[in-house]
Amino acid sequence: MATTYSETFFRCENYQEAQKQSLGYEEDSLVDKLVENIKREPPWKVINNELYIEHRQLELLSAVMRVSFENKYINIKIADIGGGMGTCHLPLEKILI
Amino acid sequence: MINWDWTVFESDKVALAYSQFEKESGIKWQKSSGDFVDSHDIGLFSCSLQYLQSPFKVLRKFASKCKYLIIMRLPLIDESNHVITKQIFTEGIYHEASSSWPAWFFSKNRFYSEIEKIGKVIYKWKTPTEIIHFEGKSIMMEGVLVRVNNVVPGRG
Repeated sequence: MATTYSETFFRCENYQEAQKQSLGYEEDSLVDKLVENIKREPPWKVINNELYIEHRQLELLSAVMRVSFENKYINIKIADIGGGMGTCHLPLEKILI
Repeated sequence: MINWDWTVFESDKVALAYSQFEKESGIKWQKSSGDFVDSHDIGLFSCSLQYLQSPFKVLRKFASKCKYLIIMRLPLIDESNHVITKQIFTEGIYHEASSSWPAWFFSKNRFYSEIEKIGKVIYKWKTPTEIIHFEGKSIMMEGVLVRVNNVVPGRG
């Protein structure tokens, strides 16, 4: 749900109607494309070669640091629900380690 | 100095497909439909809660095992009820795959009523780099850090 520049969300009556009109996140063709993309350009390798922090990662960093300071955590166990490739924290690792 | 233990909970097919990258990435993938037995310090929902069929049921499930919740890149609207939409794509890999899926816009009041049942808001923020268009309005994504109550309704 990154920035959009045109209308790409269309109101539906209920979840079932929206689902019926949709192809879905688990379509084989999409999953195959995502895996192909990762193999071609592993995001963790790109991120490891250059330290570039996006705005949303700064927001995540701020929240994680608040939790860490509040509890004096050194080890943090995170459940990233729906986190896709799970790469949003990789630049943060470089900053905090 | 912080040591991360990072586990991504994804849909069954995606978790299975991505798990082949665990060794090289250092990231673990688990099926979100499976039993969630381990406790975590933080449950992170980054642009994901709005894509769940039953978002608040899942939120309570993870709140029962996490001390804090970071919920970010949320589309909140000033309506009395949550709104369900179908999202389409005009560019990128999702467009190439002709993808589309249901996406919620959450009523701000109702969203924070749900959060109050789970824990205490420590702070909120807006994400000016992520603005989406919906029915002629520009909606800036938002985020919230929540300290989870010791006893969450539905826990156990």
